[in-house]
Amino acid sequence: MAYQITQTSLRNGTRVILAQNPNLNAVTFMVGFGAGSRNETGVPKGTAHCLEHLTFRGTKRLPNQLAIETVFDHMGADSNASTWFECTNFYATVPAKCLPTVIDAEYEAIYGSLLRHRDIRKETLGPISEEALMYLDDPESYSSELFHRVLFGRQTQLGVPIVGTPKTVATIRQRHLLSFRRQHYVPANTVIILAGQFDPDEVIPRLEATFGQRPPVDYSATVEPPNLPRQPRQTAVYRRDLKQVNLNIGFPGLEHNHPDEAAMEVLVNVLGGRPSSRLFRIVRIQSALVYRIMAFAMPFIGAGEFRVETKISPKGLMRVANLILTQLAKLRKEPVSEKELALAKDNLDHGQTVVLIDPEEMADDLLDQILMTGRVVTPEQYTAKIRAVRPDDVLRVAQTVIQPERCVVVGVGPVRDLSPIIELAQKKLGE
Amino acid sequence: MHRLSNGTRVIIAPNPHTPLASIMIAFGTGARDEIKAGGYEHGISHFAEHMMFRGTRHRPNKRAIVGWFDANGAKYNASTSHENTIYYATCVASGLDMAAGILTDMVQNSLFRPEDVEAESGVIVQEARMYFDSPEDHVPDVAQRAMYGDSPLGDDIVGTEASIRGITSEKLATYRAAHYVPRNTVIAVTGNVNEAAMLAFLEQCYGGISDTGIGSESYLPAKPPGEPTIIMEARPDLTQAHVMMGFLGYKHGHPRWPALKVLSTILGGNMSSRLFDAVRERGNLAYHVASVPESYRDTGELCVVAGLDADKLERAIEVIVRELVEVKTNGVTAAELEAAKGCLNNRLLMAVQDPGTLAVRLALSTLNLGSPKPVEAQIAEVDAVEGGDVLEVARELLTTPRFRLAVVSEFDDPSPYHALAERLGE
Repeated sequence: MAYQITQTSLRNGTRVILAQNPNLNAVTFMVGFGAGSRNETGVPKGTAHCLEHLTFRGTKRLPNQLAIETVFDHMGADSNASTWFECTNFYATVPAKCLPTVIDAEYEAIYGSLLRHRDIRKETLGPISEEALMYLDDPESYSSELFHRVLFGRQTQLGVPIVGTPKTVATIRQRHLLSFRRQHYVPANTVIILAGQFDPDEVIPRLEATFGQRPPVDYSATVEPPNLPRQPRQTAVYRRDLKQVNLNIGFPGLEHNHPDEAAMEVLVNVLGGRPSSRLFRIVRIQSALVYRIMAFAMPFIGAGEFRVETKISPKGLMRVANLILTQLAKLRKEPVSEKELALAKDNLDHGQTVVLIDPEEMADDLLDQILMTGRVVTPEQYTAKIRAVRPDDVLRVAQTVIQPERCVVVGVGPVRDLSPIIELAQKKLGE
Repeated sequence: MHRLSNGTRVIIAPNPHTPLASIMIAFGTGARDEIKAGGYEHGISHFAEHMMFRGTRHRPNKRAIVGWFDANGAKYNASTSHENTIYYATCVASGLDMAAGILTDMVQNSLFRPEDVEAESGVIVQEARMYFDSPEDHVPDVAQRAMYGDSPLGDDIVGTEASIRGITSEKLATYRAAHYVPRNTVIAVTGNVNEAAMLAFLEQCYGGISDTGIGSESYLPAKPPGEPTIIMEARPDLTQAHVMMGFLGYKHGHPRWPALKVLSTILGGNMSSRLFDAVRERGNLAYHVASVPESYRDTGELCVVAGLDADKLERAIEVIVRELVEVKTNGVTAAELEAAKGCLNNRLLMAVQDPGTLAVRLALSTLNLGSPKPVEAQIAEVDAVEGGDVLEVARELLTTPRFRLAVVSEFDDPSPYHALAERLGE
């Protein structure tokens, strides 16, 4: 009933992951490249994202966006693309019988897009600028971007928003896009995922005839390290029109492939990953001062982030900050109980079964695994990794990550100064 | 469709090929059923939904309720709309009985302890402020007012801070007794489930409550104003204009609903749609533009949603109006019609693979139409739509008197948009 996962590659080295589930009537086709906004060396910030947008602006055969989208929409495809700091992906979920059409269309769009000057101009002045402004109007996205800027440093590749800024985006030219595509969209940096219903004997020849035709070239990429805090940092963006402060309290986190990554997942789950987590019970249920409160951890190459995010009226700000910091301090001081640990492990383990039945989620998860670790982590291996976490592992991660001198606090809303929270953090976490 | 001994409607759609199962309990009650003269308060439906997670006599607190779901990695939640309140869980199939037991316990036996009600009102006030602060979440509330005026359907769902704080344990109990009753309840179960065993189990869990109360017949009908309505909400710090343009449309089960779905798909249902092309691709006026049809018990709408470049707001609204005039003048092409039907039907087939999505569709179609609507019937209805049907819908709905506009941006002057609305004609 679940997926059968196998790994193969095309003759030019492109990695292919097949996750077959004959009980579904749909299939997700995903093409991922291990490069994103962090790889924009020598090109303007926002180039990777702009290239993703221009992919749908026209090829020789399909001259404009309408022609390309019509191919996808006719199939009822749920299709999209996204650019992250360290990868870019293109995907479409379609009825199984439409798979050959989708493979051809994605290939044509990705490698055949003309990247015409007038389209670049229109796209950067229009939709891309609007997208950047949309994130600014949404206080939650704004606060997340601000957190990255303060944690990783203003001028670093992780500190600048993926979409770039209106200023940098305006300087993107055709040569930047071509150079990024030539350098990063190469077989050695490509992963193709199929999840759902399909016949591998039909799919592989089709992939060889399309993505398999790209010439193999050597690939290597280096990314610059971020400028992580050595002392606490805080920034408030005052917005009088908002009712709540969109607050982030966080720290540098663990990088990709860190031996403690499973313990970190458990820590986040215990602290704020679900409605029975500590933050939810103590801050939301007991204080009744917040509606949304979550903990996150995100690994990157050579860096990571860990943060607690909430929204709070200014009157309750210090009280909620105090409750959050109390919980962070507790994680540093006391190992989690066996019972709480068991609940977190069950949640993560069973949760993967419920979530990964969806072919899109499955493809997304496999892409992450293969790009970041170079291999597929099967659901069984994931279970084993999570089950092996012990209370002292979680304690060690907490003591490594939650350090008062590396605390970062940002807020967007009716607040001008967050230094009282930094001071409180020094006191509470230094005890 | 089955019925429990107390009349509760139950729909079970087994699929042995998935490892998951899903259960949904849906009540035909929501924000528009909060008749204030009857002693209820604006926002009580949503408040009640929150309180169902705060403890029952069998499971004394929130942790006891959500602990099992979390330990089993279940996807679970609840939501409140203007007409419905739903509770649902998707889990590995072996846990389905447990999930059904917890959900039925929550909706029947929640305690509404005064101290919990007091605390939860603080949480909900924060939720209301969160929606207000996010223009994308706030513009639908403004649009609802523009569409349906000063009626419960024109109110937002969460309530005002004053109305939220005025809700008490007693009011919640009165509300539940009136609306959470078998005649107003549909339970849908999908995925890897044994039909007979599940039916017997539900009889045991939910067959015991008696069928009294008022159901959903008591709502106040929407009284939409009979002329074009524009609400401009000015927020000086915004950089974009967040817009919803609606046209009063059809109620649940209206014979023209399938043609309206096709029209909406052609106008703004996907990335090859007319509005996406005209506003985003050719016009460079937006990142986001789409159209969505919606139906209610006595009315409905076709709505265009957009995040627009504030500096070119008038131009963008003009482009949208121009596309609407074009479609009501010249109709749609055969190619567009075929593409839209393929898109709608394929999307539906893929969506119902997820047991949770299928359960929502079955439960809500039963509440709204009286019986569950099979996927095949929906596909056949869409297939039967002809170009002439789409043109008739466009001519009937896209008119000046039906025009409604909500804009959240730095501007507050509606006059340019009244002039544009006139171009649509009768």
